[in-house]
Amino acid sequence: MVKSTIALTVRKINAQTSVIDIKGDVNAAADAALADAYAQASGQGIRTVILNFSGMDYMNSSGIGLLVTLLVRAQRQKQHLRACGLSEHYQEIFNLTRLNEAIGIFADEAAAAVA
Amino acid sequence: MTNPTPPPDRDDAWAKAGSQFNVGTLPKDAININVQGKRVAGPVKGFGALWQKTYTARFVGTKPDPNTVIREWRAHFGDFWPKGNRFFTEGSRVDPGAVAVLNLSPAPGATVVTGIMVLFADDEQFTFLTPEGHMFGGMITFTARVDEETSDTIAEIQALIRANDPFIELAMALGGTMQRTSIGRRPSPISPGILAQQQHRRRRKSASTGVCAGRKPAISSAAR
Repeated sequence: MVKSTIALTVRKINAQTSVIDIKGDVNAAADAALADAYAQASGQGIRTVILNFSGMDYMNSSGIGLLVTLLVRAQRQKQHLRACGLSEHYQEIFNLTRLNEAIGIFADEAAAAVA
Repeated sequence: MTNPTPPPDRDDAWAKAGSQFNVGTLPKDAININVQGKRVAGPVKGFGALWQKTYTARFVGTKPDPNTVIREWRAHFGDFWPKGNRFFTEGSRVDPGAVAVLNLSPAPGATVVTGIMVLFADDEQFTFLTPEGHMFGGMITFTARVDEETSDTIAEIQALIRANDPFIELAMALGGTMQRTSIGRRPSPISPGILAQQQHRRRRKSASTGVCAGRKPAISSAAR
Protein backbone atom coordinates (compact mmCIF):
# COMPACT_ATOMS: atom_id res chain seq x y z
CA MET A 1 0.00 0.00 0.00
CA VAL A 2 1.29 3.43 -0.92
CA LYS A 3 1.99 5.49 2.19
CA SER A 4 0.71 9.03 2.41
CA THR A 5 3.36 11.70 2.72
CA ILE A 6 1.07 14.60 2.01
CA ALA A 7 0.67 17.55 4.35
CA LEU A 8 -2.16 19.97 3.68
CA THR A 9 -2.88 23.37 5.17
CA VAL A 10 -6.10 25.25 4.57
CA ARG A 11 -6.17 29.06 4.64
CA LYS A 12 -8.96 31.50 3.94
CA ILE A 13 -7.51 34.57 2.23
CA ASN A 14 -10.75 36.51 1.78
CA ALA A 15 -14.49 36.02 2.10
CA GLN A 16 -14.74 34.14 -1.17
CA THR A 17 -11.38 32.43 -1.55
CA SER A 18 -9.57 29.64 0.24
CA VAL A 19 -6.14 28.16 -0.38
CA ILE A 20 -4.99 24.58 0.15
CA ASP A 21 -1.21 24.42 0.53
CA ILE A 22 0.02 21.03 -0.66
CA LYS A 23 3.30 19.55 0.54
CA GLY A 24 4.74 16.11 -0.11
CA ASP A 25 3.45 13.53 -2.58
CA VAL A 26 0.02 13.51 -4.20
CA ASN A 27 -0.93 9.88 -4.84
CA ALA A 28 -3.77 7.49 -4.05
CA ALA A 29 -2.93 7.61 -0.35
CA ALA A 30 -3.74 11.33 -0.31
CA ASP A 31 -7.41 10.74 -1.15
CA ALA A 32 -8.92 11.18 2.33
CA ALA A 33 -6.63 14.04 3.34
CA LEU A 34 -7.37 15.95 0.15
CA ALA A 35 -11.12 15.41 0.51
CA ASP A 36 -11.01 16.61 4.12
CA ALA A 37 -8.98 19.66 3.17
CA TYR A 38 -11.40 20.53 0.39
CA ALA A 39 -14.34 20.21 2.76
CA GLN A 40 -12.61 22.65 5.12
CA ALA A 41 -11.69 25.00 2.31
CA SER A 42 -15.10 25.15 0.70
CA GLY A 43 -17.09 26.66 3.52
CA GLN A 44 -20.00 29.03 3.25
CA GLY A 45 -19.51 31.88 0.80
CA ILE A 46 -16.40 30.40 -0.80
CA ARG A 47 -16.44 30.74 -4.58
CA THR A 48 -12.85 29.84 -5.38
CA VAL A 49 -10.47 27.25 -3.98
CA ILE A 50 -6.81 27.62 -4.93
CA LEU A 51 -4.57 24.56 -4.85
CA ASN A 52 -1.05 25.77 -4.05
CA PHE A 53 1.38 23.17 -5.40
CA SER A 54 4.58 25.10 -4.65
CA GLY A 55 5.49 22.68 -1.83
CA MET A 56 4.55 19.51 -3.71
CA ASP A 57 7.35 16.99 -4.19
CA TYR A 58 5.71 14.57 -6.58
CA MET A 59 2.41 13.54 -8.11
CA ASN A 60 1.58 10.30 -9.91
CA SER A 61 -1.37 9.49 -12.14
CA SER A 62 -3.57 8.59 -9.17
CA GLY A 63 -2.95 12.14 -7.98
CA ILE A 64 -4.31 13.44 -11.28
CA GLY A 65 -7.34 11.22 -10.71
CA LEU A 66 -7.87 12.80 -7.29
CA LEU A 67 -7.81 16.24 -8.86
CA VAL A 68 -10.44 15.16 -11.39
CA THR A 69 -12.78 14.02 -8.62
CA LEU A 70 -12.04 17.21 -6.68
CA LEU A 71 -12.96 19.21 -9.77
CA VAL A 72 -16.31 17.44 -10.00
CA ARG A 73 -16.96 18.23 -6.36
CA ALA A 74 -16.12 21.90 -6.97
CA GLN A 75 -18.44 22.05 -9.98
CA ARG A 76 -21.27 20.52 -7.97
CA GLN A 77 -20.79 23.23 -5.37
CA LYS A 78 -20.55 25.89 -8.09
CA GLN A 79 -17.01 26.75 -7.05
CA HIS A 80 -13.94 27.46 -9.14
CA LEU A 81 -10.81 25.38 -8.71
CA ARG A 82 -7.49 27.05 -9.53
CA ALA A 83 -3.89 25.92 -9.32
CA CYS A 84 -0.69 27.82 -8.62
CA GLY A 85 2.92 26.92 -7.95
CA LEU A 86 2.97 24.05 -10.44
CA SER A 87 6.38 23.25 -11.88
CA GLU A 88 6.77 23.33 -15.64
CA HIS A 89 6.66 19.54 -15.67
CA TYR A 90 3.29 19.35 -13.95
CA GLN A 91 1.89 22.20 -16.04
CA GLU A 92 2.68 19.99 -19.03
CA ILE A 93 0.88 17.08 -17.38
CA PHE A 94 -2.16 19.29 -16.85
CA ASN A 95 -2.00 20.22 -20.54
CA LEU A 96 -1.60 16.61 -21.62
CA THR A 97 -4.58 15.42 -19.61
CA ARG A 98 -6.53 18.59 -20.51
CA LEU A 99 -7.02 19.30 -16.83
CA ASN A 100 -5.85 22.84 -17.61
CA GLU A 101 -9.12 23.36 -19.52
CA ALA A 102 -11.06 23.10 -16.27
CA ILE A 103 -8.57 24.13 -13.58
CA GLY A 104 -7.00 27.50 -14.25
CA ILE A 105 -3.21 27.53 -13.84
CA PHE A 106 -1.53 30.61 -12.37
CA ALA A 107 2.03 31.47 -11.53
CA ASP A 108 1.34 32.30 -7.91
CA GLU A 109 -1.36 32.62 -5.30
CA ALA A 110 -1.84 36.36 -5.84
CA ALA A 111 -2.52 35.90 -9.54
CA ALA A 112 -4.91 33.03 -8.88
CA ALA A 113 -6.80 35.06 -6.28
CA VAL A 114 -7.49 38.04 -8.53
CA ALA A 115 -8.31 36.12 -11.72
CA MET B 1 35.88 3.05 -8.56
CA THR B 2 32.58 3.45 -10.30
CA ASN B 3 29.98 6.03 -9.59
CA PRO B 4 26.81 4.70 -7.98
CA THR B 5 23.84 4.42 -10.29
CA PRO B 6 21.68 7.49 -9.80
CA PRO B 7 18.14 6.83 -8.64
CA PRO B 8 15.59 6.85 -11.45
CA ASP B 9 13.96 10.18 -12.09
CA ARG B 10 10.35 9.78 -10.99
CA ASP B 11 9.26 12.26 -13.65
CA ASP B 12 10.36 9.73 -16.29
CA ALA B 13 7.24 7.73 -15.45
CA TRP B 14 5.14 10.35 -17.22
CA ALA B 15 4.55 10.64 -20.95
CA LYS B 16 6.64 13.44 -22.41
CA ALA B 17 5.19 16.91 -22.84
CA GLY B 18 3.31 17.37 -26.08
CA SER B 19 2.71 13.66 -26.53
CA GLN B 20 0.16 12.92 -29.22
CA PHE B 21 -1.51 9.81 -30.53
CA ASN B 22 1.32 8.88 -32.86
CA VAL B 23 1.04 5.23 -33.73
CA GLY B 24 4.34 3.43 -34.23
CA THR B 25 5.05 0.41 -36.38
CA LEU B 26 2.46 -2.28 -35.76
CA PRO B 27 2.03 -5.87 -36.94
CA LYS B 28 0.48 -6.20 -40.39
CA ASP B 29 -2.72 -7.73 -39.04
CA ALA B 30 -3.47 -4.67 -36.92
CA ILE B 31 -6.29 -2.45 -38.16
CA ASN B 32 -4.93 1.02 -37.65
CA ILE B 33 -7.57 3.70 -38.14
CA ASN B 34 -9.19 6.29 -35.87
CA VAL B 35 -6.10 6.75 -33.71
CA GLN B 36 -3.23 8.46 -35.55
CA GLY B 37 -3.07 12.19 -34.86
CA LYS B 38 -5.98 12.25 -32.44
CA ARG B 39 -5.96 14.49 -29.38
CA VAL B 40 -6.38 13.17 -25.87
CA ALA B 41 -9.94 13.02 -24.56
CA GLY B 42 -9.35 13.18 -20.83
CA PRO B 43 -11.93 12.69 -18.10
CA VAL B 44 -12.56 16.41 -17.73
CA LYS B 45 -14.57 17.01 -20.89
CA GLY B 46 -17.26 14.89 -22.45
CA PHE B 47 -20.96 14.41 -22.92
CA GLY B 48 -21.97 12.68 -19.77
CA ALA B 49 -21.33 12.45 -16.06
CA LEU B 50 -18.02 11.30 -14.68
CA TRP B 51 -18.06 7.64 -13.73
CA GLN B 52 -15.59 6.01 -11.40
CA LYS B 53 -15.45 2.26 -11.77
CA THR B 54 -13.15 -0.04 -9.86
CA TYR B 55 -12.48 -3.68 -10.72
CA THR B 56 -10.35 -5.94 -8.54
CA ALA B 57 -8.96 -9.44 -8.82
CA ARG B 58 -7.48 -11.30 -5.88
CA PHE B 59 -4.59 -13.72 -6.32
CA VAL B 60 -5.27 -17.06 -4.70
CA GLY B 61 -2.65 -19.62 -3.83
CA THR B 62 0.23 -17.26 -4.39
CA LYS B 63 1.22 -13.88 -3.06
CA PRO B 64 3.24 -12.14 -5.73
CA ASP B 65 4.85 -8.87 -4.86
CA PRO B 66 2.66 -6.00 -6.16
CA ASN B 67 5.57 -4.54 -8.11
CA THR B 68 6.05 -7.92 -9.80
CA VAL B 69 2.38 -7.92 -10.77
CA ILE B 70 2.71 -4.49 -12.34
CA ARG B 71 5.95 -5.38 -14.09
CA GLU B 72 4.42 -8.51 -15.63
CA TRP B 73 1.18 -6.75 -16.43
CA ARG B 74 3.07 -4.04 -18.32
CA ALA B 75 5.26 -6.54 -20.13
CA HIS B 76 2.41 -8.83 -21.22
CA PHE B 77 -0.56 -6.50 -21.32
CA GLY B 78 -1.53 -7.50 -24.83
CA ASP B 79 -1.76 -11.17 -23.78
CA PHE B 80 -4.57 -10.62 -21.27
CA TRP B 81 -7.36 -9.63 -23.62
CA PRO B 82 -10.47 -11.74 -24.21
CA LYS B 83 -10.57 -13.76 -27.39
CA GLY B 84 -11.24 -11.63 -30.46
CA ASN B 85 -9.86 -8.48 -28.88
CA ARG B 86 -6.33 -7.36 -29.74
CA PHE B 87 -3.97 -4.81 -28.21
CA PHE B 88 -1.19 -3.62 -30.51
CA THR B 89 1.66 -1.36 -29.49
CA GLU B 90 5.10 -0.88 -30.89
CA GLY B 91 7.47 -3.09 -28.97
CA SER B 92 4.47 -4.61 -27.16
CA ARG B 93 5.36 -2.92 -23.87
CA VAL B 94 3.41 -0.44 -21.80
CA ASP B 95 5.86 2.44 -21.48
CA PRO B 96 5.23 6.14 -20.84
CA GLY B 97 4.04 7.90 -23.99
CA ALA B 98 3.43 4.66 -25.91
CA VAL B 99 0.35 4.56 -28.11
CA ALA B 100 -1.58 1.33 -28.60
CA VAL B 101 -4.23 0.45 -31.14
CA LEU B 102 -7.14 -1.66 -29.95
CA ASN B 103 -9.07 -3.93 -32.28
CA LEU B 104 -12.14 -4.90 -30.34
CA SER B 105 -14.92 -7.29 -31.16
CA PRO B 106 -18.01 -6.23 -29.22
CA ALA B 107 -20.23 -8.57 -31.22
CA PRO B 108 -19.65 -11.33 -33.77
CA GLY B 109 -18.64 -9.81 -37.09
CA ALA B 110 -18.18 -6.33 -35.68
CA THR B 111 -14.83 -4.66 -35.12
CA VAL B 112 -14.24 -1.45 -33.19
CA VAL B 113 -10.89 0.24 -33.69
CA THR B 114 -9.65 2.71 -31.12
CA GLY B 115 -6.55 3.35 -29.07
CA ILE B 116 -4.97 4.46 -25.83
CA MET B 117 -1.91 6.42 -24.79
CA VAL B 118 0.19 5.45 -21.79
CA LEU B 119 0.10 8.56 -19.62
CA PHE B 120 2.08 7.13 -16.74
CA ALA B 121 3.93 3.92 -15.97
CA ASP B 122 6.23 2.98 -13.09
CA ASP B 123 6.80 -0.03 -10.84
CA GLU B 124 3.60 0.61 -8.90
CA GLN B 125 0.99 1.52 -11.50
CA PHE B 126 0.27 2.52 -15.07
CA THR B 127 -2.41 4.71 -16.59
CA PHE B 128 -4.00 5.02 -20.02
CA LEU B 129 -5.71 7.99 -21.64
CA THR B 130 -8.25 7.66 -24.43
CA PRO B 131 -8.26 9.60 -27.73
CA GLU B 132 -10.99 11.82 -29.09
CA GLY B 133 -13.48 9.62 -30.92
CA HIS B 134 -13.23 6.86 -28.33
CA MET B 135 -16.57 5.79 -26.86
CA PHE B 136 -15.59 7.52 -23.64
CA GLY B 137 -13.01 10.03 -22.52
CA GLY B 138 -11.01 9.23 -19.48
CA MET B 139 -8.11 7.66 -17.70
CA ILE B 140 -7.75 4.07 -16.59
CA THR B 141 -5.25 3.18 -13.88
CA PHE B 142 -3.88 -0.30 -13.15
CA THR B 143 -2.39 -0.93 -9.70
CA ALA B 144 -1.59 -3.82 -7.37
CA ARG B 145 -1.53 -3.91 -3.59
CA VAL B 146 -1.48 -6.21 -0.61
CA ASP B 147 -4.77 -6.59 1.28
CA GLU B 148 -3.92 -5.59 4.84
CA GLU B 149 -6.45 -8.01 6.35
CA THR B 150 -5.67 -11.16 4.38
CA SER B 151 -2.20 -10.32 3.00
CA ASP B 152 -3.50 -11.43 -0.40
CA THR B 153 -2.21 -9.60 -3.44
CA ILE B 154 -4.91 -7.70 -5.28
CA ALA B 155 -4.76 -6.34 -8.80
CA GLU B 156 -6.99 -3.34 -9.39
CA ILE B 157 -8.25 -1.37 -12.36
CA GLN B 158 -9.78 2.02 -11.74
CA ALA B 159 -11.46 3.96 -14.52
CA LEU B 160 -12.43 7.62 -14.43
CA ILE B 161 -14.48 7.95 -17.57
CA ARG B 162 -17.05 10.16 -19.20
CA ALA B 163 -19.23 9.08 -22.11
CA ASN B 164 -18.71 10.92 -25.37
CA ASP B 165 -22.26 10.54 -26.67
CA PRO B 166 -25.73 9.90 -25.24
CA PHE B 167 -25.87 6.28 -26.35
CA ILE B 168 -22.72 5.37 -24.46
CA GLU B 169 -23.96 7.32 -21.45
CA LEU B 170 -27.17 5.32 -21.52
CA ALA B 171 -25.26 2.07 -21.89
CA MET B 172 -23.06 2.96 -18.93
CA ALA B 173 -26.08 3.81 -16.82
CA LEU B 174 -27.62 0.46 -17.73
CA GLY B 175 -24.50 -1.39 -16.78
CA GLY B 176 -23.12 -1.85 -20.26
CA THR B 177 -19.58 -2.20 -19.09
CA MET B 178 -19.26 -5.95 -19.00
CA GLN B 179 -16.99 -5.97 -22.02
CA ARG B 180 -14.50 -3.84 -20.16
CA THR B 181 -15.02 -5.93 -17.05
CA SER B 182 -13.76 -8.88 -18.98
CA ILE B 183 -10.31 -7.33 -19.31
CA GLY B 184 -8.12 -9.07 -16.82
CA ARG B 185 -10.19 -12.23 -16.62
CA ARG B 186 -7.62 -14.28 -18.40
CA PRO B 187 -5.03 -15.81 -16.12
CA SER B 188 -1.70 -14.14 -15.69
CA PRO B 189 1.41 -16.03 -16.77
CA ILE B 190 2.78 -15.59 -13.27
CA SER B 191 -0.29 -17.12 -11.68
CA PRO B 192 -1.72 -19.75 -14.02
CA GLY B 193 -5.39 -20.21 -13.49
CA ILE B 194 -5.62 -18.36 -10.24
CA LEU B 195 -5.88 -14.68 -11.00
CA ALA B 196 -9.50 -13.74 -11.08
CA GLN B 197 -10.84 -15.68 -8.12
CA GLN B 198 -12.68 -12.67 -6.88
CA GLN B 199 -13.74 -9.65 -8.77
CA HIS B 200 -16.03 -6.86 -7.86
CA ARG B 201 -16.70 -3.45 -9.11
CA ARG B 202 -17.68 -0.15 -7.66
CA ARG B 203 -19.40 2.65 -9.40
CA ARG B 204 -19.64 6.24 -8.55
CA LYS B 205 -21.47 8.55 -10.85
CA SER B 206 -20.34 12.08 -10.26
CA ALA B 207 -22.54 14.34 -12.31
CA SER B 208 -20.94 17.69 -12.84
CA THR B 209 -24.06 19.41 -11.64
CA GLY B 210 -26.02 16.68 -10.01
CA VAL B 211 -26.10 14.04 -7.41
CA CYS B 212 -23.47 11.51 -6.57
CA ALA B 213 -24.96 8.06 -6.59
CA GLY B 214 -23.33 4.75 -6.02
CA ARG B 215 -23.84 1.03 -5.77
CA LYS B 216 -21.53 -1.87 -5.29
CA PRO B 217 -22.84 -4.94 -7.00
CA ALA B 218 -20.74 -8.03 -6.79
CA ILE B 219 -20.22 -9.95 -9.99
CA SER B 220 -19.21 -13.50 -10.32
CA SER B 221 -15.67 -14.52 -10.92
CA ALA B 222 -14.46 -15.69 -14.26
CA ALA B 223 -11.35 -17.56 -13.26
CA ARG B 224 -10.18 -20.01 -15.82
